[in-house]
Amino acid sequence: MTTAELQLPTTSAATLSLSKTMKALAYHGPGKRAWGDKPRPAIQDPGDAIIRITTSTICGTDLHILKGDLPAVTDGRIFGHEGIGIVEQVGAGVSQF
Amino acid sequence: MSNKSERESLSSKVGDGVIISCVTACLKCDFCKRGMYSHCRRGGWILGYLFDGTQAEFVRIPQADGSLYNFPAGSDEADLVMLSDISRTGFECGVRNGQVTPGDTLAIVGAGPVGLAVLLTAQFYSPAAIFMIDLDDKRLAIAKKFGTTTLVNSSDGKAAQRVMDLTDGAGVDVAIEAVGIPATFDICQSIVAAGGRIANAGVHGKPVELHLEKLWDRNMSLTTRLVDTVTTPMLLKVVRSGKLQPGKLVTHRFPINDIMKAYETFANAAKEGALKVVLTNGQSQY
Repeated sequence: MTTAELQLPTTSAATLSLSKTMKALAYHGPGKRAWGDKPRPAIQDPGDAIIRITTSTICGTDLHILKGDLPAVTDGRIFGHEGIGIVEQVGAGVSQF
Repeated sequence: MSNKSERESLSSKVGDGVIISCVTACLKCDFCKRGMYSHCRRGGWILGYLFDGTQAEFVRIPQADGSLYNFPAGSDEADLVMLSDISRTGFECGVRNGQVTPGDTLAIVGAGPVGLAVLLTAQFYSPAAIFMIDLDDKRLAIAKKFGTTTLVNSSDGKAAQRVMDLTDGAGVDVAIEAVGIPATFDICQSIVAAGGRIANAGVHGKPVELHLEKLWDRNMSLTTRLVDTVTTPMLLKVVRSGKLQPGKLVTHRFPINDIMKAYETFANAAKEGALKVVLTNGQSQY
């Protein structure tokens, strides 16, 4: 198994560590969404990883959620279930992807 | 046991490029142990639904060991992001559940991103004929480019009859539902051949009428599935070989700050000619 040899630009890590917020698209009830500041996620469980998203995409399911077809989605929930990114941080219990 | 350097090379590292799976898997519960990650007791499909998702600058991924996949250097990012969900949904829920076999006659109902992902991955198995059924001629034209043998525009409500005529009344070995509404499911149950399979890949919000009075003697089967994502390692290898290029489904790209515009484009997919709309955050690292 080979893994990509990727390096974070040093400036990126330094800049990001100062910021406690991020931009995200959140659901605010049927037909309502907002692109705005949300708290940046942090490790909460040893099995977690924090990923800096580089590419994501929109799915038909996101439009269903936006319409209010999935009532289990709560106010403020950030959209999206597809994406690729760079690992920023891993919890102590993360061993191997 | 592997030695220390091997263990290090296998272990995940900060700075790695990863594909985020749409399904979160703990790899330990009874469902995960059966390969049914979609119903993981500590995850399943939660991302962007019951748990904050990926349309953001950062995301927290729980159960990271089972929910992230390192990707090979030099991969195309458009191909990779299509592996998060649609390529695998098309392949697992459609092609695999439909047991597409060499020589089969296959019908795909719905030429949206999932239907087109079915089209791309069904060709691993050399079906003899592929019918693509959709209302939109623009999407049908794309389906033609990607390997469909026969296009059927369903806007006149006679798609099922046309498929039956084109198959000399036999119907199709595999009918894959890739929309999620009663009308498209009806087409599938009207065209399935004796001994055939209907594989549902669409997300349904309303009940459908199941015509068991016509199907009871057809030796047919009907499957449903929420994508389990268990074929990711296989699909990554096929993408790496260049034999699968799901990035072809990307029609529009926006910087993530223009996400509102991206949603409008995707919501008006027919008018905009949109399939997959990709959002990029900062400069690509690969």
